[in-house]
Amino acid sequence: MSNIHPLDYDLEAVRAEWIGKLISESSGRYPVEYDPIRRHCHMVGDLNPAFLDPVSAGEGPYGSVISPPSMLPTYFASGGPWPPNKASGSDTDTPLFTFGVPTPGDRGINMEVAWEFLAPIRVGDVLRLELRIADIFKKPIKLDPHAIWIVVETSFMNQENAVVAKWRNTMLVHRSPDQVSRDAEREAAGATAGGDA
Amino acid sequence: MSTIDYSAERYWEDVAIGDEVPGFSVELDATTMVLQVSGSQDWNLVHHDTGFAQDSGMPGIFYNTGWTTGMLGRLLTDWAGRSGWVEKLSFQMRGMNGTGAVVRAHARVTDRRIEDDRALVDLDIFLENNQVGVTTPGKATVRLPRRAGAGAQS
Repeated sequence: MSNIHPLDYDLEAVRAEWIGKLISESSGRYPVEYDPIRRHCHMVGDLNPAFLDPVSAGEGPYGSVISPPSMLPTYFASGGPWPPNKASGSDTDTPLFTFGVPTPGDRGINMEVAWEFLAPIRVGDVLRLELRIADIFKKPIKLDPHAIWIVVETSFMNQENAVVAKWRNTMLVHRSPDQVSRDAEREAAGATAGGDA
Repeated sequence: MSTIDYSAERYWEDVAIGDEVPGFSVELDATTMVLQVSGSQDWNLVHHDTGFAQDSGMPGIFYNTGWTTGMLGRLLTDWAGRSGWVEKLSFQMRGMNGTGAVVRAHARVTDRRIEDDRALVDLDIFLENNQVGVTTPGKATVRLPRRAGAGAQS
C-alpha cells in the first residue's frame, strides 16, 4: 500500500528514477502446460482444438498444442500467482498494479493493452520475460484528480532465446474515494494556511 | 455448442474490406465470474469482491484484462481459420463488463495488404454489452494463408 499524499508526490523525481528501469527478469516456474491453456479456453468458451486437443493440434500447422492469443505468456513466464516463488526471479514483493512505482493511490485499473504475437508458444516451451517501465504520467479521472498512469513494455522469450511475444500495457493507479476524502482535508488545510505549509 | 469448423481455412483472397465478423455473445453470471478468475489467475479483488470494488468507487465487480484479451483472442482465432495467425491485438478498456451484462465480441475488416510476403488483414474489434454499449474498442492484424498459386505464404 502506497498512500503517499499528493502534496508529497514528486512526479518528476519518480519519472527520472523509474522510466526505462528493468523491473523484472522472471522465468516461468513451470514449462508451458496444457491445463492453464484449457482453463483459459474454458473462461471464454473457446473450443478450438489447436489449443485443447493434442491429437488434432499435432496434425495442424504448428504440430502441437499452442497457446492462444491471450495474456497466458505473462502467466507462463512468471513464478505464478501462488505460492510466492522468488526462485523464478519474480519480485513477489512488488505490488501487481504499480510494478513498484510509488503512487498516491493503491487501486488499479488496466486501461490499454497491445500485444504482438511473433511465434507459436507450444506446450513444453520454457518462457521468461523482461519488463521495463516505459512511461509514467499524471492524468485526472473522475474518481481521482491525482491518478497516475504507468506504461510498461514486456518481451517474452522462449528456451531458444527467441522473442515470441511483446506486450505494452497501460495501468491507471488511483486512490479510493475514502482516501481522496482524507487527503482533501490536508489539501484544504494547506489552502487555508495561505501558503505557509 | 460451437458450430465452427476449426479444420477449415480462411484465405486472404476471400476476405474483403467491410466484411463483418459476427462473433459471439456471453452472458455474465456467477459462473462466468468464477471462470474469469480461474482462467486468468488474476486475484485482484475488484474482479470478484463486490464490497471491495464498491469501496474503490466502482458500481460493482468488472471483468479483468485476461478475460477481455481472451474474448477478443477467441473472436479472432474463431474467424482466422486453421492456419490463420493473430499477429497484433490491441484494445482500450473504456467501459466495464460486469455481472448481468450480455457481452458481444465482434469485428469488421478495415484493410487487407501484402507486407514482406505476409498476407495481412486489419480489423476493428469490439466488445460491447447490453448495458453501456461498446466497452472495449480495439484493432487487430491477422495473417492468413493464400490460395494455391496466388502467392507464397510466409
